[in-house]
Amino acid sequence: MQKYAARLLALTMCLWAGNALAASGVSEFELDNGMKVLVREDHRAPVVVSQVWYGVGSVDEHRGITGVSHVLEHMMFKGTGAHGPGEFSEIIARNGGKDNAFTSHDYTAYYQQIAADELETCLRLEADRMTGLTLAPEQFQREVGVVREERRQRIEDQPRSLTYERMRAAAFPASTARQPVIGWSADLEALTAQDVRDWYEQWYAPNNAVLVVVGDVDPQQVLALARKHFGDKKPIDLPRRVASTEVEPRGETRVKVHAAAKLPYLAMGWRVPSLTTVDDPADAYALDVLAGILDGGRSARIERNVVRGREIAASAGAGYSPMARTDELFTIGGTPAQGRDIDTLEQALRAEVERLKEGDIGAAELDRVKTNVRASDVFQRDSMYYQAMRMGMLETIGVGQDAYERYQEGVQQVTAADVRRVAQRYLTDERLTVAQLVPDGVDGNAPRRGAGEGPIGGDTIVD
Amino acid sequence: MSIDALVHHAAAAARRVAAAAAAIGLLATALPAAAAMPDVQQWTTDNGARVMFIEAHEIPAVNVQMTFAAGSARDGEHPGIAHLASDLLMSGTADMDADALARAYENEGAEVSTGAARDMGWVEFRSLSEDEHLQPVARTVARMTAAPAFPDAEIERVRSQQKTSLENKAQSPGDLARRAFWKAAYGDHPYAHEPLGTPDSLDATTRADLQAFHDRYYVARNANLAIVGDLTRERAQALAETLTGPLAAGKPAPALPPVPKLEHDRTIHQPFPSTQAHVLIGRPAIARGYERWPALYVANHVLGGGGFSSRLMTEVREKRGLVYGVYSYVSPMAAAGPFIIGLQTRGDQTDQAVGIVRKEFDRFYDEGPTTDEVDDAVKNIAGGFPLRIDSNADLSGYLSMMGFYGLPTDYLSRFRNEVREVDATAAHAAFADAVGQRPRVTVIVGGDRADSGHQGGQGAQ
Repeated sequence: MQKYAARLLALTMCLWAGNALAASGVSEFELDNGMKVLVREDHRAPVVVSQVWYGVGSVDEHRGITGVSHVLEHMMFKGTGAHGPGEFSEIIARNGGKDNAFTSHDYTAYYQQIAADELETCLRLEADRMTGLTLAPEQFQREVGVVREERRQRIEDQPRSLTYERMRAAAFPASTARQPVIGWSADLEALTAQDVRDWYEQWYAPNNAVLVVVGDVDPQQVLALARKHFGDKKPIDLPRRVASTEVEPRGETRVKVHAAAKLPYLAMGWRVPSLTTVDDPADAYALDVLAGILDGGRSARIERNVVRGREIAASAGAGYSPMARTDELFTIGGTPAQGRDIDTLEQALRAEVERLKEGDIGAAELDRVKTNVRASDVFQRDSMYYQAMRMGMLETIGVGQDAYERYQEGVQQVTAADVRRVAQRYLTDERLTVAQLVPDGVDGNAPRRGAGEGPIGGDTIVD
Repeated sequence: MSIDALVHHAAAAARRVAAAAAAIGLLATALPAAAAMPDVQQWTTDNGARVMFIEAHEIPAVNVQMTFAAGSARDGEHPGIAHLASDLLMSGTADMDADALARAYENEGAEVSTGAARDMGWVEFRSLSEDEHLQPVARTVARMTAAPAFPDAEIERVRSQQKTSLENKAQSPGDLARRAFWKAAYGDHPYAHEPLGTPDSLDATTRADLQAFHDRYYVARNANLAIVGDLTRERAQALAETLTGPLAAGKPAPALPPVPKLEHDRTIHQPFPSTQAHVLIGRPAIARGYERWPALYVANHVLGGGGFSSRLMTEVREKRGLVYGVYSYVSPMAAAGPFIIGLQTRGDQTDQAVGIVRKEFDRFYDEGPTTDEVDDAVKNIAGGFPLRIDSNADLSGYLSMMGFYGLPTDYLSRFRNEVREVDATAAHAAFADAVGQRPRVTVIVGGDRADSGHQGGQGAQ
């Protein structure tokens, strides 16, 4: 079964395992127009990953246009003055490559994977669409239809995704971190081609972009190609990126989400700092280790005690991803085992959190987490794409490439007392939002629910 | 997996559907550029397990996949037993319980998992390659695979977990559609049934049944081993002996029966309260080893396997905006695997989308791809060759597939070379021969819920 929340930090933070590589292993440049260029050499195969990241995502949006960053991402494939709709992807495909893009809360990114000698093709095309997008209204109409299907597919018909979406919206009552990346349905219905054009003109410029290249390349040659294709782009005055601060947590929030489902599902999120909002980075490192103690594999506490030992969950997990510009959620969730109810599961998982605040944390548990962080770093070096992802994220959330080294060292320093301290400080009831998926069955006859089962506070359901 | 998980979590919205189907379709496209062609070594262990190995020293790690012809096609009278047996491998041996097993791996930083599909059951892991880590991990994997204890309490727990997984599938219109497709397309063939079984069949499965299943199928001569990583040939050979040493020699699983011919067209419409209908259209096609596979692969690439440039994507998404994703794939298996076209669309658009897809399928069957389309597909598949084998994880996946299905060690380069020779005539002929046209199965599940996600009095903002 799909785990509710994979433990993502080990994935997100690739920590060099004390090998001979230089500090970050990344060559960093900046063009005169403010565009950043990051290059990592990896010569194991004659291929390259090329990515252009823009510092804009759903946290920059406001109600009424939520989802616009992602719709723009789709429209970036719909043609420029120089290339027709779809031509970008066709050129890449004909040259043996593949391309795609993704949007998140904090960034929008475009990538190609291709033979290394075709890198210039990618840069030429990316430079073209940085400023030359057509954004034809009829293309927009069709594409926003595609995005609505994407929302149905990813959220509306996925009871757990829907539950997570509502939980997140409730957990961030004031900041734009509450908004789903794909946007609220009503906003997707109302969005116009002009909204997308405005967004493009406000945010897409060299001084809000990072080029990331990993592969069989020479950094100086990449820099020369970047200058050639992006060097004449003019920087613009960027909008202020609003520091998406939150109101003080004042007590536990509870949400029930009714959906066409057979199985109940629990999603809990504690509002915690990310690498960019934390006072002392040591807290973020300790939260990561804490997540590993709870859910760092089959020998971790949730799997050992709640899934196997007491057999309360069919599946359960915990996750914390500190790579964000805003506060983030420390999440724990799962599906009850046969014959168990969701309240029992919630109590059992919360009891595991309480044990972290009071009980012992063995040296062996800490060592296991730290060993796994080191090993998964080695494993992640198997993927150039992954290395590029990590570089782009570090840059666009604003912590820089060296945050790696610091992170690795920081995790290795974490003590049992640190874990207890951050559990006591952050995993508190005041910071907690609990969402329970209430299955309405799937026989098709269940009544459609109104807002009557809303969360405590009444104000926290969006959408 | 890590990338998918990361992107899913971080992005939650991307342009392209990462259909599981696509991954299946890509299984045979690993095509290194001539210079980067990895050297595949092959041998057999003392007790008869087949091994394929690629030496790769870029990172200090090793990827291993052990596969057995022990998938749900071997369930026999106990539907679901292959999955139960696979899950229970991690539940302990005579002298190590599930906790001890998990600690043994995770203390060394190794990632170990088991799984099953229709053709195979498998054990896979990656580990740091230094002996101090690899040796204890390999010894424990070997014991766990050869001699699981099947503790009664664990059988009950895993059985119950599998029932929850069944309920999870029963609330997913996509899973329901797949189940209905296999049932309709495969009749009484061992591929037809739900691989997780039914609650009743799981209840009826005893410890003795599990032991018998394991004793029959988890044996050396029914095993295939793929190893990629930072090892010399000598160390790889020793590793293979460590991993398979405790296995009984046994004998290979018998060949599966041939897939019965479809008698007539079938359309199955199953209601479900989802906003989108999940549509699958297809029929049984070919087994692994099909001699015109490169031409068929090119043909499917043009029709619906090639992402944005494919005909289905152009017609259904790019021209009309009806779907987020639409794809086709051929999945060669031990017996004839299916050709499937899949899409999801808002309920009230279903007829329109199905109509377009059927028309494109028929037109493709009649006329085949154009020369330009085939040229572009060949350039993409042959040119994209190095990308598909640029990681040890990718390579071990290909090796595992090649070994399991008895393909030769030069399969990848041969495939690449043959793709380059494919023209429109050959692609069309292969498609007509392997996929055909009719009879075919159409499954439509869901799309019955009014699409009003932003209404219902909740739109206060």
